[in-house]
Amino acid sequence: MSLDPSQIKVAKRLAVLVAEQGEAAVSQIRPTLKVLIGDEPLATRRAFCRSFLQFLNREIRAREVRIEHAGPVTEAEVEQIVARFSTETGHKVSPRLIDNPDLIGGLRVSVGDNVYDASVAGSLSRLALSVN
Amino acid sequence: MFNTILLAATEAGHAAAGHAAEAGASHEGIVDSIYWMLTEDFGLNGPAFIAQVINFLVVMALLWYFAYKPVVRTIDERQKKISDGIQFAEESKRQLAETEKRQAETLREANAEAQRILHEARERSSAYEEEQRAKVAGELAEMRRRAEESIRLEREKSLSEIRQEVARLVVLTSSKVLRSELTEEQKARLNQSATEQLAARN
Repeated sequence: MSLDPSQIKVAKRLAVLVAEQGEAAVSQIRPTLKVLIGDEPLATRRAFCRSFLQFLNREIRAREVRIEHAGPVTEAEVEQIVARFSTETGHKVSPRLIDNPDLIGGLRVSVGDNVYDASVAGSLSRLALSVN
Repeated sequence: MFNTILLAATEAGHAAAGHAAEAGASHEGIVDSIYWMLTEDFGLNGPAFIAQVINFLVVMALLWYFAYKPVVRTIDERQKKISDGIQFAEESKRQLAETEKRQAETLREANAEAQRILHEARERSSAYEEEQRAKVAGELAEMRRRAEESIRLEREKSLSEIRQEVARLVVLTSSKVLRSELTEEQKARLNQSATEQLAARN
């Protein structure tokens, strides 16, 4: 079952709203979905929910900045990174710190599908690739 | 013969003239004398003479119709046949000569055609041979080029694999060395540098 373009647009808009509101919007999801697609057939409701979750995951990932690091990272550095990517994406992003010793040193920052690698391991990999 | 008869008649006339002078010397007397001389001196019988003349004419007509005319016709036919035969022979001779001439011409043309075909066949054979030779040479050159290209690719692939392996070993060694040698302070400086690098990128 595939949705028509207007239903896809509604699912995407709803996902954006929920992502913007954060946990406050979780309780409003069910009644909103009931209003929007309560009268639709079961297959349409399933397809709509699947599409909504995909858009929501994408929006959540776009609003989260994953900071992989090897070694200590100061609060100031985290704030600097958050400010940098909030400006770039146009909305507030939340940091998520992940300790990754394989990086050896430096940082690898991911926002949505974009990855910015400033680690020693990444530099060595690029060096190895450039040799080829 | 007729002159002899006339001479005899003249002599008889002279003789009869004597009798005519005696009888009165007239013209009718001379004619009568000739008639009497013919009938009595020569024994000419008038009716018999006429009958013989008629018989002669009949016989001559019969001979002309039944003998002379067929013979002449036969001779004419024979002559015509001979003439036709000669004409036919001449025509045959002429046709034979013409046929021989035509045959010679045909033979000459056939010979020329055969020579032309042979020449063309030789040229085609030569062209085909050249074409095949060029084709084989091209194929050989292509095979050689492919073999050289294959060797070159194999060499490059081997060199690339060697480079990759060397790079992998270098990176692995460097990673191990750095992981064991880097202090927390150095890691912090690296993180700070990375943060500045990320903040500075557009």
